[in-house]
Amino acid sequence: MKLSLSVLLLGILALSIPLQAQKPSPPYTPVIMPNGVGTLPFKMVNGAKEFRLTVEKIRHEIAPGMVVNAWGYNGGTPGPLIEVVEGDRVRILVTNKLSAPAAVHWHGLFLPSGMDGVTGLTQRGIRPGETFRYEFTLKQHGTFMYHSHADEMVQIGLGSMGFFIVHPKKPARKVDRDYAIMLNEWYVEPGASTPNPNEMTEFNLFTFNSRAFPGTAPLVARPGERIRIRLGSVAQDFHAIHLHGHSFKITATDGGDIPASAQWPETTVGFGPGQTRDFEFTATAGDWAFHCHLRHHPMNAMGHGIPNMLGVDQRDVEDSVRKQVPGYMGMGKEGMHDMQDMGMEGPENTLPMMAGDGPFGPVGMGGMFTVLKVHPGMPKFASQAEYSAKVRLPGDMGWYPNPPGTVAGPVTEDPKTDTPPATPSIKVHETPAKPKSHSH
Amino acid sequence: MDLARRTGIAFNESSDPSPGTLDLSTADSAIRLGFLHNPQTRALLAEADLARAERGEGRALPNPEADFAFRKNGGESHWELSVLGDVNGLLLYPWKRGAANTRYRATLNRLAAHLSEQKTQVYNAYFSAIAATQIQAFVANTAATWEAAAELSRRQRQAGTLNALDLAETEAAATEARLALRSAEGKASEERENLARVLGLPSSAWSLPDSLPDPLPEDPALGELEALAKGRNPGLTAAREESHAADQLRALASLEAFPSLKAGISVERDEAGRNFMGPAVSAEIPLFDLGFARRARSRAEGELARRRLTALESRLYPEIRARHQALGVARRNHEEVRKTLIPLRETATAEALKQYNFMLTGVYRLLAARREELSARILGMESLRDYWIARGELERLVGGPLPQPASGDKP
Repeated sequence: MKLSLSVLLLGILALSIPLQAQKPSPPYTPVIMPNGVGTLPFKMVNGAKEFRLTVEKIRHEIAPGMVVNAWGYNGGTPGPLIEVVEGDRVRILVTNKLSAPAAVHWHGLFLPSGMDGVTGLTQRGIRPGETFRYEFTLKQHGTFMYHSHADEMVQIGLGSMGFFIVHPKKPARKVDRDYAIMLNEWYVEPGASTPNPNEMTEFNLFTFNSRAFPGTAPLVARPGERIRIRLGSVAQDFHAIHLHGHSFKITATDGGDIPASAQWPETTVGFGPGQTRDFEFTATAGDWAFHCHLRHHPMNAMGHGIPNMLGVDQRDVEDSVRKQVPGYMGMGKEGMHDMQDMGMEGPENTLPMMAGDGPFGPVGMGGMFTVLKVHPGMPKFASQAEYSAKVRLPGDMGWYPNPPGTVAGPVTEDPKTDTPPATPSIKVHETPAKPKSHSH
Repeated sequence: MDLARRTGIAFNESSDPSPGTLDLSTADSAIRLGFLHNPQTRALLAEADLARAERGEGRALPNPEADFAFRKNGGESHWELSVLGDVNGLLLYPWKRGAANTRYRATLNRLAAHLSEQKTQVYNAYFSAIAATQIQAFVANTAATWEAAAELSRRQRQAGTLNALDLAETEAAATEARLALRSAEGKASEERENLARVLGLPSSAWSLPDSLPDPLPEDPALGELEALAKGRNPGLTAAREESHAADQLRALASLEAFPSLKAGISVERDEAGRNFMGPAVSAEIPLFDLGFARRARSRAEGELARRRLTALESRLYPEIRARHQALGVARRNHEEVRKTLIPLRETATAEALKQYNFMLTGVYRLLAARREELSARILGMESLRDYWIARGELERLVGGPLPQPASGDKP
């Protein structure tokens, strides 16, 4: 009887292992991908964490008002976050629902050559409808990526990429919030909806997690929290990602951790295609811009060949043009900001070059731009799903209530009235005005 | 009214030209005015009067001849009186009368053919003048887009944002647009003066509608037009009647081969006061002119008339087919321009404006889109003008108005 009870207890114990594995209490802070589709769930099968990825055609919103025909994983671009721990054995079952061959490359990971996912070199292409198994043991930790390595120009150009994050078995330190942002560049003909993968250099959409401002979700934190931001890039260009109001240290690349002695303070992290960068900092209260510092990258589509009208007075010529084309407004004399002020109609399914509203008016940004919101009492989010449900657009989670006297304002000639401007009334959790909806 | 019937235009042939109300609201009203005022038309109408008189002459019976002689010698006198009638003339009168009638009809049809030509000239001039005025307006707008572009370029150059090459190219294009406008203005003026010429009224005396009418809901089929032309084309009818008249004249010429014979009565009183009365006969002696040349001439005239008829027929039907083809092409072109091309060009301009609004394109591209839209409108106007001109030509070829669909409004 005792034997049977022992067997029963052992059986229950054995059964409880996979159940516990599915609901682990992770020894790390779960990574959040703003605007991400979620963390990929797994099942323990034969001692390996088994994931299922499906590469497929999807409709993806770049920002409200613009939807593109993309190729992603499990309904999203970037695909779902694969989040594991160093030493795990992983099995990834990749199903190809495209009508072209596919393959997935595990970018930066140490693995058997035959699992590296390069069509023709390490495997044949996954044919439409087929499922391939990739299986390997994780021998390192860090921020890695997965992306198509079949017809890369097209498949990555249309969004087939994702993060593969391996946490260390024994973290040297724990951060309070851990974010991951994937950079990509697209060319979508204004008014069209399928990215043109043939474009080599003249991209017109620059995205964080395949979203462009004003469609980017902010990153949130509380003052004093330790924040990690992981950046990965499958873009074509070098990017210089700048965080306002903070100094940070790059703690790791996809090649491994950088020893503390080799780290130095930065405000901008520059990196190229196929690289990842992790950097950490302590959050300071405020709403802080976070963007690529290449001038055209925090902007949306604009014509590269448009005439330079800076300093060109159009006042009376404007009437002549308007007689021919009613609705014409002369623009550009004093820069491009007036475009945003006029609220003019643009082509369907296109984002304005400059857009977005903040608490003080038009932000006049686009592309690779978002906000780090460090507010007291900012909620914690237990999962990617919870984050994505509440934090989607720049205005979500409200705006920082600047303490009196800490906001720049106009100077008046009368010293008595020359007082610092009042803080604008804050409407917490208000979504900014959305661009005109497209016709889909 | 005979000519009016033959041309298919209701007008009073005997009206004196007077300014009256200068109504040019429709092509038919313009044609009526032209028939009243054009000196050439008036000359043709005078020719109709002449033809009528000639027919009267041709239908008259030959007068008898009276021959009187009086002789005196001293107290004695002698006189003779004879009255002779043209026996040949009387015998041939029915043939001569028939030939005169046929010639008259042929002449009227010949005049109607000329009037149809003039009517077509008015038609063409009328539609061309309206179209040219409208095209001039479109070209003026095109020039305005270039002028705006040139002015913007000059200001860009002043602001230091444009190089000399681009400025020169834009200013050159604006200059070319001004030249094109001058040509269009000249063309519009020329077309108005051409209309004034065919109307016989100075251009200051009338004004034109702003636009050409839309095409009629449908146009007649080719077979219908060929059948109409066969029975109604005034030139063809005239040639047919001339051929018929020539046949009649040839028959007459054969009959006239008989020597001229005159018969009558002769009365004579001699010196003794005696009266004598008896029949008198005068006959031609066919000694030198046996009438061969006259008969050969009438045969040649008959052959000529037949050949002219054949030649006319061989020209007429291909011309109808060609004009009918042109009518169809113009109608389809106009329809496609109106229903498809212009809306597409308008969409392109609107989309260019949206792109301009989002700084995806520049003002020069926007103005270029507008120019393309104006070009489409010019194309539409040209095809509409060609449509109405082709209809006018077909009216000339079939000798009157084209069959109208039940619901069709004539311009």
